[in-house]
Formats: sequence, structure tokens, C-alpha cells
Amino acid sequence: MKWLQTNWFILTLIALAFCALPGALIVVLRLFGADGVINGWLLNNLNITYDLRVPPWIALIFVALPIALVILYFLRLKRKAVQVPSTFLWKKSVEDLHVNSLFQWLRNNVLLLLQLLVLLFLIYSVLGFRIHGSVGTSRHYILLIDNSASMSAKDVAPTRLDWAKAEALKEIDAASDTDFGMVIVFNSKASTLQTYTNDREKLREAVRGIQQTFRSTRIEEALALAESLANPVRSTEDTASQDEDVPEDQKRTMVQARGIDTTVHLYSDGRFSKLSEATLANFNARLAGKTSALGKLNLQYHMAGKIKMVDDKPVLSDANNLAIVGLNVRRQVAPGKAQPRLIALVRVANYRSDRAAVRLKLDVRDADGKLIVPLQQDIPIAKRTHVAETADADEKDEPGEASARFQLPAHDPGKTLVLHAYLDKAGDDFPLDDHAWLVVGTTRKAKVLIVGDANRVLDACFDQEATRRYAIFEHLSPKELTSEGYRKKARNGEYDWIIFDRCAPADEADMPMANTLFIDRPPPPWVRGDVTLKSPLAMPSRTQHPALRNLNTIWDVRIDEAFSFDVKKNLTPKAAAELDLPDDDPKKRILPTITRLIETSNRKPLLFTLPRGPHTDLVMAFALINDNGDVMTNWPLETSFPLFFRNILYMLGNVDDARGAMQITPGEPVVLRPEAGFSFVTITDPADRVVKLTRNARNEVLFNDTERLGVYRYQVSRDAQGKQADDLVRGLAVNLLDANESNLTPRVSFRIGNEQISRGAEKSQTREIWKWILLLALLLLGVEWFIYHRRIAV
Amino acid sequence: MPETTSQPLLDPQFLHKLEQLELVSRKIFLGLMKGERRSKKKGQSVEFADYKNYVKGDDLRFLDWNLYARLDRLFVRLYQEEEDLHFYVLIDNSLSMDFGNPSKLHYARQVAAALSFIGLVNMDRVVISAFNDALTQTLPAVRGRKSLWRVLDFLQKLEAAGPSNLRESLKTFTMKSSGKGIVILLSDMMDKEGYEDALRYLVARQYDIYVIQILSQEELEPDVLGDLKLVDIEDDDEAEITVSGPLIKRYKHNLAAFQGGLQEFCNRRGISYLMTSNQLPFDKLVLSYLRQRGLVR
Repeated sequence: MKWLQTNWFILTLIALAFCALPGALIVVLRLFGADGVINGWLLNNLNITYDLRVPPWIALIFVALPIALVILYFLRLKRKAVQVPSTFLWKKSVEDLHVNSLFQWLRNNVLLLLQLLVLLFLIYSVLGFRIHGSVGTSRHYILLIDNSASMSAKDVAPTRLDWAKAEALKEIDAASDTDFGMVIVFNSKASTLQTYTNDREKLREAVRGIQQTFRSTRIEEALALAESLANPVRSTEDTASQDEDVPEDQKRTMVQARGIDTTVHLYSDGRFSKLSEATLANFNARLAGKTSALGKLNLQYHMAGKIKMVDDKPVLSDANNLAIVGLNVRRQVAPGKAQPRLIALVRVANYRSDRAAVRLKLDVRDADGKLIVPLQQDIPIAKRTHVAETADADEKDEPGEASARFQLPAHDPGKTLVLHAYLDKAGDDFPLDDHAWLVVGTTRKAKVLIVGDANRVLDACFDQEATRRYAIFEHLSPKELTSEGYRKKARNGEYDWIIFDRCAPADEADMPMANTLFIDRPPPPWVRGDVTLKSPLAMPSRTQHPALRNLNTIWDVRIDEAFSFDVKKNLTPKAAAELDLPDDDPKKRILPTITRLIETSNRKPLLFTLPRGPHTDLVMAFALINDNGDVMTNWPLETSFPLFFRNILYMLGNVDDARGAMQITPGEPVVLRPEAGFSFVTITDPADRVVKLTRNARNEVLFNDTERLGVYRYQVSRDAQGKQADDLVRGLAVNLLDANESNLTPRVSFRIGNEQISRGAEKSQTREIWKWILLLALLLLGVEWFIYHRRIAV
Repeated sequence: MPETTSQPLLDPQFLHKLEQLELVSRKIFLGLMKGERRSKKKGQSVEFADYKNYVKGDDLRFLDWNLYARLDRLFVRLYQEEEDLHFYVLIDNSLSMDFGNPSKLHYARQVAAALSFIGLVNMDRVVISAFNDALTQTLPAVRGRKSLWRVLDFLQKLEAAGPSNLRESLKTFTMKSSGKGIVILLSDMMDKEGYEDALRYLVARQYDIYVIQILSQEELEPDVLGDLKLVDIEDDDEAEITVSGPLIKRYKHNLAAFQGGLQEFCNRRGISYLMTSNQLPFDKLVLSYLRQRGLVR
């Protein structure tokens, strides 16, 4: 007992060190990424898990603190030397207090023990241990977070998205270990950032990783994603799908798929378009025959954004935002002038409840960004009109609008013009929609090759000023089809469109990398055959097809003779044999789907398309003129004929007349089709990042990194290495121009099917207080130290 | 250390007050010269003391002829001899005395000057000695008011130096000094070897001993904080301390015990002990405290 009395201090010290050891071990192992193993072990053996509340390096500092503290006590501190008349009395006093041996010096130093104890508590508090009691009911929840453009509004500091993320994190914190969460982010698309997991750190990371986009908002996909998990459709493997001849003992028991009750937390400003009944009809709950579209989804709406309240009622008609909602260019032909004038039309919307006046500026720049002329107009904009939703009528919410017309300077059609419209000093909460861009592009001409003998009908059609504006024509004799020159050009995709007039390449391998029109011949491997149709009645079957757009007089077309085409019968014997090859043979031929545009009364195709990889072969089963030069149809005399050729020139020749400049919304993929025969496209985005893309087989480039707002400039290179860029700088503009995104007033409620979803209260539970306790403990330590040394409390 | 040597040790007004005082010895000592003080020795003065039988060689002038007539026996009249007093001032000028504001040494010099002045004006034989680990300087015995400048000059030139060793210093002092008288010891008494032996030497010589312990305010009320390395000004001895409430408490306790021990030691041996702080005005010490103790009147 006496020994215990003498050594209690050192014993306590050792005990404390042992207590700290597991914590230290966990932190160190965590540093090596072994947290999964540790948690697994802890759960299996002690029924607890830990969840480090601070970054591992901070935890390591905590672990090192007790060691440092003990070292500080053991090691002599660097002391300030002070001269005294005599150390006689001091020494005596020090000796009285403690003898100078190491442990005896520390004897009775309860302060050290207390400090170590506090540090020990700190270490275990940041380790965030949880005891896993008896397994409760597990809950499923989905966090649907809107990161569309409007979520960047700053009416809640710092932004709506940051608010949404913070709220979602609170929800994660409130979940228990047995709850499974999922994170879905949505804008114009939806994507699952984290599938169902009960690892809350993964969920937190997913939420923290959400980035702001400038895209518009569509909730359908996100809801469908969430809903597909909560309301699975009936399993396809059910009793009906089981074979009848399965022996009784091998029959499987089929269990009806059951949905999971899921809480969906929607963090959004509610500015998405109303879900149509057609969309809702595709939801699994509706498919399963339920009236509610949401089924087992319990949708909780957390409204992001601030709403003005007057007399405890939300004011839904006021948002501090002015927006450009439209920017277009129109060509206006002035009487007596050959060159059309360009008129820019800008629409500006006012979402405030008062009238607004704003200065609208329009900078006209060339493709390199050099300012050609700055234009500006002061425009007054009417106030917003808002009629609340009633039982009979939907909510009516229209911003005040004003338009401005700007006459642009004379424009060389061969040069690119960039328009930048912006509101000067709008002073609103949402600066993104105060800018809009438009690129007035150059006309993209089709490169067309006509292979065939002289054809006056075709010549009459193409050899004119109006057509030459959109296409460049080359002619080739049918004999040259076998020449190497043709083959090289055809394979390289030098042409947009090739017309084979009463001729065709001999072999399928000679087919060009371009769209084609075959007149009186099918493309190889089909052959014309000898079966002909005399005076067939031409009946349009696909009037909505782009090739037949605006054609109303097809019924009047008379045809002398057409060849009869059957996708199977007209194949060459060799190709036909390939149809019968076994399924796993790579050479096995699969017949393409034939699209009949014009057919006879007995469904024989007269004008039809055959898909060929990325290209389309349009086949006209009749000749326009025969080899003697006699006209074989009256169609060229009909008004529909030039219209038809214009349609197929646009469709198959990839003509872009730049009349309506492309309006691209952020994130929307865009197909760039510069003139045929290029190899690379170098794109410079608004942030001056450069991307180089190779064209695909269709003479086009698919560009999908359109997340930033502004003008993307691009140049084409014709050489194979992509070094020498074309002089012509083209551009495309990515704009928000979305009235829904610009409307900053968050929706208080919205309707999904029959269900009215209203905003819920902000999450208020489970504020983490461990940080404050930690701070308090540290403060306490400091104060304790201070008091001890200041000898305030003697 | 803050030094105040440029200041005059005594100012004229104070000197005037001191003139009224004289040193009081509780013992009557023999002196070499006739002074203004009664001596144990019987001698020539106006004050009759006793008779003694005449022996050959006695001064015939002091024969009492009236007694001879009455008793027919020869008696010599004895008179009370008045003589000068030995007044020793021992000043500790070790380095530890060079501490405080004003320094303890300066304070000691002022006290020494004041007491010496009192001695001088009363025609006492004043001897001042300084010591640290040995007796370093001594002002030979001076008498009379005119010697004041010598005393002051000596004191002014006294510098703090060296470690202290009370025992050795006082041993030397007792061996060197011849006459008996008053010894004033001005020191902080902080000698690691102890003060007991040293005082015993003085006691053995039957001096009338006054120990005035001078401590600085810093010693009485230490104003230190934090983790310190205390360095002894005399021997560079180091003491590492972490200032804390208990430590300060313990220090004060030890200081009180030290003073108590010294006082008890002195009381038992008839030594007058007085502890003073350098913050107590020295004129007050001389005019008030020393009067109460009976050193001056």
C-alpha cells in the first residue's frame, strides 16, 4: 500500500498513456488509409465505429500533444536568466517543494494529469466514436441537388448552391449508421454522384464535390432516377417468363419486386418547368397503375433562395433581376440594295415588381475580338405581372419585357461577326443572364460532286445563282469512278454529297464517305435488276421527312418507268450469301432499314433512304432523263422539284446558311460542320482554353464541353497534322437565355402529378457541437496554464 | 544595478538633526585617550569616584589631607575617568549588496555615515571597515567633527565587489581590532556558510553588537514570473524555478524563518538585531528605529 502511495503518480501516467494508445493507433492507421479495416474490426469486435471529425493531420497533432506536454514537463524549459543577490533562499524553497529527481519532481503534479486527461478526451472526441446498438429500421434517403445556373444567385450568401450543399450536409449528419443515402445532382441532365451507401463520408464528399453549372433546370430525369429505385417495375423474371417444362424441383419461387420507402430531399429553387403528364406517365409508379406519380417517394422540398415576406405572406412577384432573354439577328433586304442589312434584336426581361430602366449595350466585334462598333440604347422595361395559382388556373408569372433593335454595320458574308449584348450596371442578384452573345457566321457551302453523263435537268437545277450561294459543284464522268483520284477523294470525305446519275460505283468498297443521291441506280451491293414498274403512281409516305418538307404536289408527279427495289432481292448474289452466315460470324450481313419517302400504291419504293454508317444514301428509283436525253418524268416541271432539291441539298449537303445562328445552351453538345475536307478543329473557349478535335467520318466534329457562357472560336486545319489552321475564324455562342433560370423568385410549392409539394423547414437538428467542446477544452487548458503560472490563485 | 553614489550620503539638514544625538553603549569600555565619556577606569576628572590606600608612587596631588588628619592614614582620591568610545562600523560590500534601488550598499553607506557622524561629533573613535570574503578596506580610527570628510570620502569610494564570507571577515576583524566598543554590522546576512560563527567571534570580544540586516524590496517581495534561471550575483550559482503560487509562498516562509532564526540567535547573545528594507528611508531608520533600539539618544 505504501508502494502504491509513493508511485501513484507514475502509475496514473502510464495508465493514461495506455488509454491514449488505441486513439493514436487509429489516427496513424487512418493516415495510411486503413480506416475501412479499422472500422470493420471495431464493428465486429466492439460494436463501435469511428468517423474522424477533423482532417487526419490535425488528429495527428492532437495525438502528439500529450507527448509534447509530458516532454515539456520533463525537459527543462528554456528559462530566462535573472540575477538575484542570493539564490540561497530560492534554492531552499525549491528543495522544500520537490526533490530534484525526475519522477519525484513530477510528483503530485495533478495539473499534468488533468491536462493529459483533457487531451485524452479531445483525442477521443475528434475520433467521433459511435456505438452501434441494436439495428434499428434502416432509412433510405436521396439528396437531389440542383446545380443549374439559377443556383448561382447570391440572394442567400454565398450562393444558393452553397446553401443547398450545407443543408444537404446537415441531412447527412442527421442520418444514422443504418440509413442509406444517395446523392443525385441535376441541371438539364441528372447524374448520380453517389449510389446508395451508409458511409456518410462518401456522401459528404459527393455533396462537397458538386460544382456550379450554367445549365438550365430539368427535374424529370432526376426524379426518374430517384423513382426507379424506390418504385421498381415488376421483375421481368416472374412466373410468366418461366418455361413450362421445368421440373417441379427446379422451379424458382418468384418474389414480387418491392419498392423501398425513400425520402427525397430536393434542394432547388423550384425553377424547373412543369412536369407534363406524358413524362409522368413514364414513371414507374404510374406504370404500376398508381395514381400518385411519386409512389414510395416522400419528396421533401428545401427551397433555395430568399423570398420577401409581407404580413407573413410570401411575395412571389419580386426578384432583383434583369435578364437578356433573347438575342437574334435578322437579315433585312432593303429595297434597291443587293446586300441585306443585319438587324440585331435583343429582348430584355424585368423580374422586379417595379418598372426598370436599363442601358443595353451591344458590342459588335470581329472574330478576333476586335471591337468594330459599340452600340447602346436606354430602354424602359415594364414591371413583372404575377397572378397566383388558383384551383382553376395555373400560376401566371410573366416578366416585363422590352425589345431593342440595333442596325449592324455592313457585314461581309465571308467573315464572322460576334455580337455581345449586355446590360450596363444592372445591379441585380444574378449577373450571368446580363450578358448574351451571338455569332453571325459565314455560310457553310456544300461541296457536291455530280457523277454521270450530261443531265440538263440537273444542270438546270444546280447551275443558278441561288444554288451556287450554298454549294460548290464538281462534275465527274462515270468512267472515272474506277480512277484512283476519285477513290482517294471519296474515301477522305472530300465531298459532302455525291450524286450518282444513272451510274454507281462498281463495288461497295468504292462508296464515298459522304451522303449520296442515286438516280435510277441503287448503291452497291444492290443492283438495279431488270424488274421495272411502268407508270407507277407516286405517293408520298413520309411527308414530315426533311427531304419532303414543304412538298405538296407530289401527287401530280408522273413517272414513266422505275426499277423495282426490294432490299433483299436486289442484293448481289455474294452479298445475299452473307445474309445466311451464322450469327457469330463477323462477315454476316444485316439488312438496313429502308425508309420509303415516296412509294407506289403497292408499296414499292420510289424514293427511299438507306442508312450507311454515319451517311445516308437517298435512292431515286427512276431516272430524270434517259440516255437519249428524253425526260422520263414530269416532276422537273412541278414546283415541288426545285423545292425537293433544295431540301436534299440542305439535308445531305450539310448546308448551314447562318441565317439563324446557333443558340446553344450551356452543356449542350454541338455538332460543328465546317466545309468538307478538313481534318482538325481547334476550339478556343471563353476562358482561352484550347481544345483540338479530330473530325469524324461524317465530316463533322462533336463538341460537348460547352459549360462556359460566351463565345467559342474555332478554326479548321486541312493538313493531316492539324498544324496549319484556316484563316477563317468561326464561332459559336453559348448563352443562358432561359427565362426560367432568370426568374430568381424561388417556387414556394410546385405540383408533381396530383401532389402538391411545398417547401419544408430548414434542417435545424444535429448541429455538431463537438467543435465547440473542443475549443472550450483547449481554452480551459490555456486558462489553467495561465493561472498556474500567473499565480493568481495562490 | 542602479547606483546612487553620486548622491550625497548625508544632507546638511539631516546632519543638524544628527548633532543632537549621541551613541549609547550598553557597556562602558576602556579607551586610549581621554574622551568625553565616563570610563570604567578611574582617572582625572572633576567627578569623584572613590578612595584608595596610598601606595608608593601615587600622585601626591590626589592625597586627601583631610582624611589623613582625621584618620591618620593616607588615602588617595580617585576620580571618574572620562574617555573616548570605540565605534566600529562593519559594512558588507560584497556583490549581493549591490542590489536593489537604492542599492543595499548605498543604504548601508548612508546608515554608516549617519552613525559615524554621531560618533565623530561626540569625540568617539570611529573605525569603518568594509568586507566581503575578507576584510578589504579599513578607515583607521578618526575622531572629531573635522574627520567627517574622511569618513564620507571613504564611504563614497566603497564599491561592491566579490563574494561574501562573514565568518572569515569578522574573524579577521576581531583579531585586528584592539579596543572594545560598539560594533555595527551592516549586511544582508545572506551567507551560504551561515552567520553564526561570524557573530560568535564578535560576541567573544564582548563588543556591544548591533546587527542591521538590510534587504532589498525584491528580496522581501519577489516580483518574478514564469520559468526562470536565477543566477547568484556573487558566485554564479544557478537555481531554476518555475514561479508559482506555492513557490512564492514557500520563499516568503523561508525568508521569515531565516530572519526569525537570526533574531533568535542575536537575542540569545545580547546582540541587537534590526532588519530593514532599502525602501525604508534611512533617516527614519536612524532617527526613529535606532533610537528606539537604544543605539542613539
